[in-house]
Amino acid sequence: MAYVLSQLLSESAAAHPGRLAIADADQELTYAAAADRVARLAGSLRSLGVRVGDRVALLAPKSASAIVAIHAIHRAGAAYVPLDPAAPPARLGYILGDCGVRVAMSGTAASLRPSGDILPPAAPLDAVVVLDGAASDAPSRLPARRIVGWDDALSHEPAPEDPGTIETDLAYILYTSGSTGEPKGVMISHRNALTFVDWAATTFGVRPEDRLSNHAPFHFDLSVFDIFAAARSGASVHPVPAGLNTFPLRLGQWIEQRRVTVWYSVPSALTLLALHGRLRDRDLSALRCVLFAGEVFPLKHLQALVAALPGPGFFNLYGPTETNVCTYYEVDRRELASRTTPVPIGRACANFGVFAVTAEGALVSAPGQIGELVVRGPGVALGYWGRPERTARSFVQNPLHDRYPEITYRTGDLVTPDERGDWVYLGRSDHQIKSRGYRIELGEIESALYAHPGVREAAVVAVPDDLIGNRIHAVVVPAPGGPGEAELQAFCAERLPRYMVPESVEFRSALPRTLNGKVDRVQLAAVPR
Amino acid sequence: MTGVEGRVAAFVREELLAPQGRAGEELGADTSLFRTGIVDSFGLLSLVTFLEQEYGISVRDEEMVPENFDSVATIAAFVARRSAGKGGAT
Repeated sequence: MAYVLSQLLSESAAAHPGRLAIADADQELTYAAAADRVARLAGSLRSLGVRVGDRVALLAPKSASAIVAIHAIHRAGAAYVPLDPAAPPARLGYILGDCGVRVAMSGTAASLRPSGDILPPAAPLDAVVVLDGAASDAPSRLPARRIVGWDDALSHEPAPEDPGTIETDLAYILYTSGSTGEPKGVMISHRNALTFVDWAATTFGVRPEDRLSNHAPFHFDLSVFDIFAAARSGASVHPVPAGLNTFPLRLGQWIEQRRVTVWYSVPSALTLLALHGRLRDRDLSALRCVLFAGEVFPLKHLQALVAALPGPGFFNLYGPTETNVCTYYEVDRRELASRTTPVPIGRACANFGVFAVTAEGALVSAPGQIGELVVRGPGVALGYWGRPERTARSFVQNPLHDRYPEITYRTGDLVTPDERGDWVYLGRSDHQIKSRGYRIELGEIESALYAHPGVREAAVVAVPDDLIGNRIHAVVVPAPGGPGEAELQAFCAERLPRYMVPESVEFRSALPRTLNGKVDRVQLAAVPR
Repeated sequence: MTGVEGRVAAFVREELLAPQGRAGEELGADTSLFRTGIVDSFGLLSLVTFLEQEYGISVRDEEMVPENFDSVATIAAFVARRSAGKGGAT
């Protein structure tokens, strides 16, 4: 039985060497070929000094080679830190410095856009391995003392099978929006990830014949299912090419041509497919499972999608990055048509426990009672990298007992059970929102706005949107001669990922306040431009 | 740029580039809107809505492809074709 993720690919390579493992438009790798590449790349990483416990960054668009790189980082004993190639250099530089990255695997300069500035901190990394390119193709934005081309790395002696990683070592760190202005790194151990992967591969019956799409970016934990449930099951994983996402029609054709059997994405991607993908014209008979997570699926769009696809089962997966997925709900086709509210988030996955606690500390036990969802089990993350105080606020002793140490995660998500005992998501207990499935702390956007010298006061509100969940609207009180809308948006874009830049900025002479002096967010959200 | 190109470019600049904080970026008639990440799937929909309202055409799902929407120039050519033979084939 595997106890670290790197064993999944090795075991499948031994059992199914000739089966397809990873495929994109440029290459199709069998398990034997993928395992050989992974071992050699890991050998190269080891020769560059990578050891158990190290963090290796991955800065690359989606491709078969990028997935090979993720496996190789594990095989070398390290945790991977996936970076969003579209995020501003300042944010990426912050992440590299925050978790002490010394070695990175990077796409070529040509594959990364924007070509961009050099990432701070200015101190060069120890080494960069270039994916699918020569050393001379390395992006200038990632300066390093040593640059290794792909072919050189692939001709290295294979790394030893077991680098000495154990299940409590870190498998990856995912950076999410932080309310105080800086992103925080969620630390996921091999044990955390395997708890989820084992449950998912079993529950959805993933087999060697399956063909899994990989739609979510690597810095979004939906991709963990695609990559590792495939590796565990001897199935193949098919990264969706970046440009294809834009065109629902082409994405539908791609699902047909690839004969995808298991699809997993945020609801907004599926909504676009349902609305504009002409799914009824496609032969999607191979598709047997459609999984979605990351945000509430607007009911009418889910109904349209399910009606357009008579074959597959549909599953709503729920969980913050700190637990990956912890509850799930299988959509009942017949019941769905008559529903008037979004589908529930369902019940706990195997080896996860969930319960809800009211603001007064009582256990929620009946429909109508509202509480914060608390998660327990081996899937609960280790905390936030280098932030013990922040970790201690959300990762707490089980509030139901003090007999022995048991860390649980307080999600901040408000839920209530329905009549059948399925959990229903109601909203947040704080200022976190979702847009396009990404989780966003409004406070982080406000911090970015306050950093501008021409901003006196700023408040950011979410305006609900049927297609993408929420649109971001900023209300700003400018100093005399302060910035205009476009300037503020450009200022934010240097600090925040694209999905966090306010779509509109409204200028006022003062922010509305409630009677006790707090910014009146209800009033702000009620009058979008 | 032609008249249609100018109006499409203005829309892309104000409604798509500016909200990404990229108002100052160069935008030529032949700049690829997708390879530069200016337009994503949601941007494509707002472009389509703009064209439908501005030029009284209706864009079918099968017409929402890179051949028609890759640049300001291809969009203007698409609008010209559709305006010439309204309701006709692409």
